[in-house]
Formats: sequence, structure tokens, C-alpha cells
Amino acid sequence: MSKSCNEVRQNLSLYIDGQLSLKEMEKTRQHLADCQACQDEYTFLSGVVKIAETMPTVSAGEDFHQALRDKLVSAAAEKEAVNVPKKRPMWQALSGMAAAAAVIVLSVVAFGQLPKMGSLTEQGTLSSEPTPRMTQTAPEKEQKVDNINHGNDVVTPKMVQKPVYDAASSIDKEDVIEPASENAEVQSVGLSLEDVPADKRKALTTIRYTLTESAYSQAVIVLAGYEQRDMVYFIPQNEVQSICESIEALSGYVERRDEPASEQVTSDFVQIMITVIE
Amino acid sequence: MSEQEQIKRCQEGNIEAYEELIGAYENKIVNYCYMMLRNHADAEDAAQEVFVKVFRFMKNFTGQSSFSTWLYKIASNVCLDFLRKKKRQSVDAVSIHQTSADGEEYVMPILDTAKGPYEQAQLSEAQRFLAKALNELSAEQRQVIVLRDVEGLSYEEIAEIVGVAVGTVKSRINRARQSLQKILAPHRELFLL
Repeated sequence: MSKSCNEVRQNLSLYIDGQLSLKEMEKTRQHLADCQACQDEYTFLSGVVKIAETMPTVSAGEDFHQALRDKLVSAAAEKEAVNVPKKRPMWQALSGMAAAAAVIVLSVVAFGQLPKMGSLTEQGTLSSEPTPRMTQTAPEKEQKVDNINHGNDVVTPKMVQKPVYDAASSIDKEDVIEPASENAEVQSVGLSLEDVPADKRKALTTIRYTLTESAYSQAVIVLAGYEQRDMVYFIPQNEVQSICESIEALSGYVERRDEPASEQVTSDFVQIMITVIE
Repeated sequence: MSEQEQIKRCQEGNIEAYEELIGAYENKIVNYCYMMLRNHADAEDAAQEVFVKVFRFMKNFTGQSSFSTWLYKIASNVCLDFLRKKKRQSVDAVSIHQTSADGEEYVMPILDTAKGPYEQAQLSEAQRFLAKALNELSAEQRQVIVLRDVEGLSYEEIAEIVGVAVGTVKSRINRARQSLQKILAPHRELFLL
């Protein structure tokens, strides 16, 4: 098979769909007129495409509409039930503790990319040097975070151009964080995990999402209305499902893996880690 | 009422308006799910999941892409997710494992034409072989072939649905069709139309 035959056969799919440039279309047409072997391949492939276009279609069954309506009615009721304002200060909700909280941590991982800033810890969590906190934190708390940081997923700051505070992401699910103070007052300024009452942050169940870059950029929009300190998102428990479904509805959502909390502790937090792939 | 006006009513949570809006797309999405999942019951479940998700997140629909493209996007995610979940479950049906270009494994249930809706359809021999061949493609390859050749979408629409560049769609469709050619080579005389 000549080089031009090879080239033409590589382009047959695009030729059939008219996706080549005018010049290439003409070149291919000429070649096919002169080469019987390539003409045969073209006939075969265009036949496959034509048969695919004529495949019989399948329709919804008789019960489809009623079943769908029932689900829509339930969805509308749920939507109504969780329709709470998103932008209220999270810590008012937490201090009331009517609703438990969930923690969403965005950890950005780009395979094949070296970190542009910071360094990788043993298991890869970004440990920015220096790691300026976006909020005021006592030095001992800073130390605590640093200690916890060892042992996490690979994180590069590819999508995140600001220092990553990853106290939550750095905590193994069996870990129980000792609070700076059991009675730490929850405030909207200077927020860190240490500020959350200990009994509300014992169990860090983890939901790991793998998203493409485009999905990640949309996920950030989905999370935009919620309390955030650096890359830590705090979501009321009753909104977590909705947030997860939002993320899973994105084009570019690849996978979700749930890691249950340790049996010894109650699940007051959900840690969501997002991995971004090319 | 224009589609845009219908969408606005749906965003206010109006179920009747939503049912009206999706009426034109129901069979398309069921068919797409069937082509991906190869089982009518699974396809209907998946299609319902798609329509419920879309209803829940209507407020997120900005109109940047067409409503149809957005539906296919969510349907694609639901179907790929379904195949991945199926992989993790114990496989009680006859199936084969496939590995896609990104190394992800899927379970591809083998089309059982004796039980599915294709049993009633008068499939030509070529269609029957093609249905089996589609089943042997990876989920990603099957996805682009179904979107392009069965659903008749443009390269640009497919790029938006799959979330990749148009160039990637071109090469993916090219590779998928080459794979079909290889699989169907023993029966090529049926396709020389």
C-alpha cells in the first residue's frame, strides 16, 4: 500500500463527513477515482456509516411517563424542602447545630504536571511554602495543620493560583482532630476546622470526585454561594446531596468514590475531594 | 410558546411545562441510553435519571449550549456512570470487560437480540452485525459513534457533549470507525452498498 493510500485511508472517516479541507477533499476524491483498493475501503466504511444511520430506534415504554412524573413530583418536593438560603453565614447554622455540616475540600490534581508552587508532601498534598492563611490563625494552630498535612493526595496548584489550605483534606478518615478548644466559638472570620466544635468534626467521610478541567471550573461555580475559606467549602448536610448531584450532572464528571466514615464515630462531616484530569 | 419561554417556566419548577419541554426529547434520550446500555429496562431507568437531574438543575441551565446538547451531556454522564457502576457490581449477566483509551474499565453487556426490543424490529443482517460490533467498542468509542451516526449530531455538538475539543472528536470517531471496520471485516460484503 502506497503512502498516499495510507494517508487517504486515515482520512476516510473525515472525508465521509466532509470534515477535510477543500483541498484535501479534492485530493482524496481524485485518489479514490484512481485507486480501486481505496475505493473498496471507502465503500465499506461508508456502508457501515449508512447502516448505523438506519438502525431502528427504541421508544419509551407505556409506564415511562407515569414513573417519570412520580419522580419529578418527589424531586420538586425535595427541592422545596432543601430550599434554604445559601449565603447565610454558615456559622450561624453551625452554632445552632440544627443541621450538621459537611466539608467540601477541593484538591486539584493534574496528572503529568509538576507543581508551579509549593511542594508535595509524602503522599502529595500541596504544602505551599510559605502557606499564608487567608484568615488569622494562632501559631499553634498553624503548627497543627502542618503536622496533619503529611500523608495526602497529590495536589498541584494548576487550577488554583492561591495557597491551598488543606487541613481538612489532609486528615485521614480515621483521624480525630483534637480541637484547639472544645468551646471554640465559631466565627465567620478566622475560620478553620479547629474552630468547629470537636463533636462536629470527628468523622470525615470522604467523597472523591474525578472531574475534567472544564467540569472543575463549573464545579467551582456550583460551590460559589457557600462559605469558603481558601479551598475549604462548608456545606450544610441537607444540601450536600444537591451539591453532589450538581457536580455529577456536569459534563466532564468522571467518577465518584465514597469512603465511609470510621464506625466509631458519627458522620458529621463529608469531605469531598476533587481530582482534575486532563 | 418558544423553547426559551418553556425553559423559563421550568426553571420556576413547573412540572407540566417541563413535561411539555422534554416531550420532544424523550424517545431520543431513551434510544441513546439504549444504544449505550443495550438493555431496555436500564435505558428507561437511565433516561428517567437524566430527566430528573435536568429538572433539578434547570436553574443551572444558562442557555450557553442548546437544551438538546445539555440533555445529551447529562445522558452521556449518566450512561458512562451506569457502565462504571455495573463494572463494580457482580456481573450476573453475560458481559465483557472493555478498557477505554483512558484506561478506565467498563462492563459491556452483550446485546441479547432475543430479549430486547430489537427482537421485534426487523433488523437486516447488516444491522444485526453492526449492533453486535457496537457492543464490542469501548464506551467512549461507542458514545461518539452513537452520537454521530445514530443520533446524527454535528462534530461541534459532540465536542460539547463529551467535553473535548473538536479535533479530539474527529480522531475519536476516526478510531471508532476503524475499530468497527476491523470487527465487521468478516462480513464486509453486507456493507458494500
